[in-house]
Amino acid sequence: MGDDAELTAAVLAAQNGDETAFRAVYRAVHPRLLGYVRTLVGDLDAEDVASEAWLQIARDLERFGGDADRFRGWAARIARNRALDHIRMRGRRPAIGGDETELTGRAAECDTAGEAIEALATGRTLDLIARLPQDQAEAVVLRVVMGLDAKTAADTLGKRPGAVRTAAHRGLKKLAELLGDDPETAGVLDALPPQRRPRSRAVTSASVTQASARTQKDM
Amino acid sequence: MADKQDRWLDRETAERLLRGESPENAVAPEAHDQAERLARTLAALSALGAEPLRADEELPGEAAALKAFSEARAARESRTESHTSQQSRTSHPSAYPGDAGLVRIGGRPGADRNGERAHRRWSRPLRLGLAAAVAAGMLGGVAVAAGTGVLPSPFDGAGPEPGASVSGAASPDRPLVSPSPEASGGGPDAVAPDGGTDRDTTGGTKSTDGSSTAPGARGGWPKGVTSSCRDIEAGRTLGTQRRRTLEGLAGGWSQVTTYCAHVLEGGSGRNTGDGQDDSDYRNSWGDDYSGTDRGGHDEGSAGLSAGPDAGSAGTGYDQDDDHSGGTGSDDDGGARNGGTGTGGGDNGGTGRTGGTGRH
Repeated sequence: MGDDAELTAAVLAAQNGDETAFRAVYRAVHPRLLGYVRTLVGDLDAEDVASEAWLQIARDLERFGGDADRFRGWAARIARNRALDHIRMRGRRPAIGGDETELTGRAAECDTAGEAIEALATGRTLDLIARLPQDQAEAVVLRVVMGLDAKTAADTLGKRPGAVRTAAHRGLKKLAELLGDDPETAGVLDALPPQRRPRSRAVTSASVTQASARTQKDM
Repeated sequence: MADKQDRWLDRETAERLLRGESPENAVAPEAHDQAERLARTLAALSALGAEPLRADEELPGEAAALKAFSEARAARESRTESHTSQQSRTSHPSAYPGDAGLVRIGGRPGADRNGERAHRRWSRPLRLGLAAAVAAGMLGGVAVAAGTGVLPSPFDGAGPEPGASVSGAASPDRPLVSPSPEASGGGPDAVAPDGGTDRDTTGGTKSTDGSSTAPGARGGWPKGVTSSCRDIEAGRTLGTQRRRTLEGLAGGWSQVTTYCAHVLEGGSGRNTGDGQDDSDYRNSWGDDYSGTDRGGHDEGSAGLSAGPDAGSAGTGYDQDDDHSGGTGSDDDGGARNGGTGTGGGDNGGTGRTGGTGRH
């Protein structure tokens, strides 16, 4: 977890006014945050909502206290609140529940078969996630996309860790069940490498990043 | 059926999957495919948060986030700066107008020859505006003063160390006088901004006290302080503001008793008290009052500045305070009491006085 240590240090330095450190924090956390926001508001609005979240993060960073994991959780909570505002304002349903056309269109534009498959897989996955009860979906997404542990995810959601653990567990069961019923998705997913795997990244500032997932480029 | 199907997916396995670990060893062979599929699904989900980043590529919201960050930092620094940069300001009186938004508000009553009313009118906005800076002001002001030795410069130039001079100086006038020139000079201006903040910090309350009291303190103690001390001696409970003010002046609640003893017994004898009291006092005071002083200056200068110039202000002072210490009084007041500093009022008072004097 050297990455986490780096992120923790970068957060601290940023709190002391180090702009380079803030940039490192941004680059380390933004991809996850954006992914998380995508599950909440959909692809179209995700960038805007994430940007709003970052503005608030920048302003309130001074008041934050904690390590890398807590920072991700804190950032996620801010992003979540912004997303909920956004949803209320637009009268939209959360995108967990997904907008398949967007995702499909996106897949069609991808250059390589690998990317297309992954995008499609992501789309399918979002679609599956969207079929989970909201609390289960959020628990799973916070754990998997934001990379939070159960306790931090619970803090983010304002719930007890036990409740979030249970919700995530049930969410996985439900997912497994849906997968069993959905051969098409299963087929797409079979094209993917089996495991998410930590991978070192070329990006300097992103060395802070905790890259536990494959990236499209990696395909 | 469903039960059977997901029996493999116990809590522990779920935890592993959620962490992105392989389920393999934990899962019975017959459930392997299911586990694998679920793991892949989660991998796809996780990929959402793993968009590739290139060092040379700026993310869409990156610039905006950095801008927000540097703006927030600038705002924070300017908050701190008002306390920190006293010296630099001193050297650049011209900086005053720019940075003195807060101060000027307080001081602006240049129009306010009608001291009291104007003062009261402004005290509220001041309090509001400065509320945020209060904590920073009290702590920061002190720390800065102590660390930088900012305080001494305004006073010392004139001569004696604040503490020493005071104590020794049966003749308060001397020390006081010397400072005054500075006050009239760039010094005050420079100081003013900070003072403004500090003052506020101390509290709108003080200002209130001060306003009535300020000029009065013939001994140099702010009137509000004296009455607060009397109240304490009488066993009465002070309101939060008064208590804080007193604390600020005394350098901590634990010092209040001693401080008040000096106030009450010393009366005008502030000199004595201060002088003798040593480091303890001096430190806390110094801090405070550095803040205070500035405040005093500020107001004074502010008032003045609002008016034509420090010079005139200086005059005003002299007249007022002649007994106590004339012009010097400002500084002194600040110095000795710190009290002055604290008592925004005092400063305000002074400022006002200055204005009046001009009249």
